[in-house]
Amino acid sequence: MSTENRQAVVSPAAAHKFELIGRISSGLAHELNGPIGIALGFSELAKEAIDASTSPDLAQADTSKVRGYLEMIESASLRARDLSRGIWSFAKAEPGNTENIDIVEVLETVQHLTAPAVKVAQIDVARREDPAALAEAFCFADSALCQQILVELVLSSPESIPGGGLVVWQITASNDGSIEIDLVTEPWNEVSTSEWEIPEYVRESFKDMGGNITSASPTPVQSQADPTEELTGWRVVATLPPASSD
Amino acid sequence: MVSRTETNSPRLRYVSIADDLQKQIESGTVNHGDRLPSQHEMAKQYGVSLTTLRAAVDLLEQRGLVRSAHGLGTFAQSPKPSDSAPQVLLVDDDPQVVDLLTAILEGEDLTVSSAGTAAEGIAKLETATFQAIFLDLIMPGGTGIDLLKAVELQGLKTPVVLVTGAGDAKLIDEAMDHGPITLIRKPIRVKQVRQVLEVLGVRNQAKV
Repeated sequence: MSTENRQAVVSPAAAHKFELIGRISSGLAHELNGPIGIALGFSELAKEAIDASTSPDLAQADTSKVRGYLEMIESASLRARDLSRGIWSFAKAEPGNTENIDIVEVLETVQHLTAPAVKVAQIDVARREDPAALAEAFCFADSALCQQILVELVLSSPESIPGGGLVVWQITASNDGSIEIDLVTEPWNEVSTSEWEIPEYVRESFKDMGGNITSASPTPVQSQADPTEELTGWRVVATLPPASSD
Repeated sequence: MVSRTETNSPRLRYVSIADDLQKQIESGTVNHGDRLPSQHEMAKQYGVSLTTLRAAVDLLEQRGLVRSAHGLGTFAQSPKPSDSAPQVLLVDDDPQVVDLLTAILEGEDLTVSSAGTAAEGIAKLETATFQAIFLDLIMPGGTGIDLLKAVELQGLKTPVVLVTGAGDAKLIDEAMDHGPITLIRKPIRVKQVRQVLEVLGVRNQAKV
């Protein structure tokens, strides 16, 4: 196959994937410093606690203190492992398999993957605490593709709230059984006037899966700093078809 | 004064002078309310420039051991003993960073109060007087700059230690516009934190 033909079969989603991996990795590399630094710090304290023992026998040292430090090292190491596992599974997941998937689970993964990258823009990703929000929601879709286009959406959200804020997501069910993904950007403390542009391939990907996505539109949101103050955020609503009973 | 304390530097001259003056105040050689010699006289006495001497007096003021009254001079203050009130405020949204700093500070017999956001930290400033504030820069709901502004606005002399990662250069520059800061880069090293505590004279006053 010629180079020209090979390029022709690369889907728009595949073409964007490398860029997304780069952006997520950059955020994760920064975030990994956190748990690594914590593990190093507690290692220093653990060594000091052991050295402080007058007896050469470790049993004479303050073992409960040392154990506490080791538990902190373990917890930081697990956090680092989860961060690197996330990017690894995102990189190797390939679109092309449509099945019944739990979109809540997908969005939880997207939240973990994107949070470090948007944190540098002073943005937090959070799930809305709402009684109407579903704890699990099965739809008939391509898991890898869903994950990628939702990552793309979250990573593009800072343009709508340049001063920082929250990206809040929730999943609800529509009357016809389709699953609704609601993404709202909420500025911390200023009225944002920038638009949130949805990449064309994201729009097309939702359509290909039998769903849809609205344009981002301004929406009133409550100020985080002052609940009596109303600010302007941006909202994107996407739908995916209900789970198949076949 | 806008300055950055280089925590890896050898012991600085102004810190030694501040320590010497602190000893005189704590031992009672200089009593509460006594006026210290003029800064010109002290500079001559210690054989340093007026700038170095002023830095030492600023540091003592941050430690709460002197107060300067414009046109009247510098007066000694007794250290306020406290063994239960929190002495250090930690403001960081990462609970593991808070855990590590707490372990280090408690190892130095210091009591700690922590906050996960700048707003929470600002609220704590109104409930207690701290010897030092360890502050992260990037946090949800607002940056550490908000807390620095509150410290400035309330006229507090509490020394602030920025504990921050790489890539926050713009925010660090902005932070330095709001008063003197000490900078600790993540990953946090235990020895570095202890050095900072020593330079700033942060210690459990009840056990001095």
